[in-house]
Amino acid sequence: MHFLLLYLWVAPKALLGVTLAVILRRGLQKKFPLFFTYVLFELFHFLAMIAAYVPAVFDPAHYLNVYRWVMVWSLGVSSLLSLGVIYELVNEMILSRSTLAQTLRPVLRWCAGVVLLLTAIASGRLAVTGLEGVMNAFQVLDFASSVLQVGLLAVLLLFSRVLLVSWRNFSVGIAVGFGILGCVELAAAALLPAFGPRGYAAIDVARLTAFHVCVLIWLCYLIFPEREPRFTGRLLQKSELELWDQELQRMVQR
Amino acid sequence: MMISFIFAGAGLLGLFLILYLAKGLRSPGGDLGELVARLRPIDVNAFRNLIDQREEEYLRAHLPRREFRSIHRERMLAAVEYVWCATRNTSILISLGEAAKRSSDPTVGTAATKLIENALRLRLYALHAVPRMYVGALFPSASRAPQFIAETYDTMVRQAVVLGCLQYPARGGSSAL
Repeated sequence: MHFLLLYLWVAPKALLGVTLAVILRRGLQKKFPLFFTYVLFELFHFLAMIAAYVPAVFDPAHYLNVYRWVMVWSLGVSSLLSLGVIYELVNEMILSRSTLAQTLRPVLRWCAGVVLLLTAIASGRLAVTGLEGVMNAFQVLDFASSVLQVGLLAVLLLFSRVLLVSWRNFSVGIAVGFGILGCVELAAAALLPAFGPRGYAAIDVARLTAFHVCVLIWLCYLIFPEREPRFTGRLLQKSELELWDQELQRMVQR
Repeated sequence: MMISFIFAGAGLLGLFLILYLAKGLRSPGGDLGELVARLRPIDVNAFRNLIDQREEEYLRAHLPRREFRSIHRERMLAAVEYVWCATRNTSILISLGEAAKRSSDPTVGTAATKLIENALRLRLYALHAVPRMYVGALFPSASRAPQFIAETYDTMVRQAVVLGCLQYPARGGSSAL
């Protein structure tokens, strides 16, 4: 179990380092600045956790709380950044692709509002008792950010499906990775108060495995980038296109 | 304790939902002839009949309440099927438009771009219409769904007409209309 935990703690971060290198090499930091910042922060977070963990092992009475607060603050920043990434993905996958941005913007705002409301209700329902104050804060923050993340990503993927976004797009890879991570985090955050400290290790394994899968997905999307779609057969003629377009325009006018 | 397991279950369901939505994303490209062959026919007149408000009022007036509810539900569900079929056809139309965008003739590219935008608009429209039609199927006496259907009647019929015409590419859209 210890070896597995150690592997899951180190391997995804190492892969995240590779992800960062590929992003820099392909110049994607300009296209996805918030995702780039998120990846960078996760690596910084890993180093900060090591720096806080080592003294906590030797002197838990003094440093365990410091370690936990580093964890809570990192989670707060990480959650904000992941929400920023989702905003970036909405722009990239939906709003920038279509002249329907004006129509879609209020719909997406409403969806985000509903998800936020549901998050607040769900967080209120999840009674976190019996844990120390700092862990309590961690639980509520972790749970709320996971619910928000999963809700927003589900909305994003639903609209991507409607707008026929290609599954090979890197933005889709980011969204799916975050989605898997968010769902496992949500389940883990909900189960932690039920199991208490004795469940920390098992829940940690689930969380770290999800993060590992998430980083692997990002890396695969980066290594095998989207290609131009290939079409075979007879192309449509201009007259056919114009005819269909006229009819479609008539259809969408009330 | 129970609420924790409910939320954990919600997380698991969320995972399936995310994977399901991601799985449904599009694979671009393909054989254009095969795409055209995948277009499904739409019986416009039948669809028109299903969403006709006068027809609904006639049924409401002449059938016992319980029977009307049952028939209305079936009619609405059938109408939803038509909309799904039209939406599937739209996705093919978008692929055809994307292929046409690569044409060396800039006017063809412009026409294809416009076509794609309007097809996307239609897909968004279907996303909006289908849940409301389901509401109409569940609560026929509720005013919301019938009003919505009446309000969008023309749009829906036109959608069905145009997408139905796609099954006759050899004859051209105008002859099918």
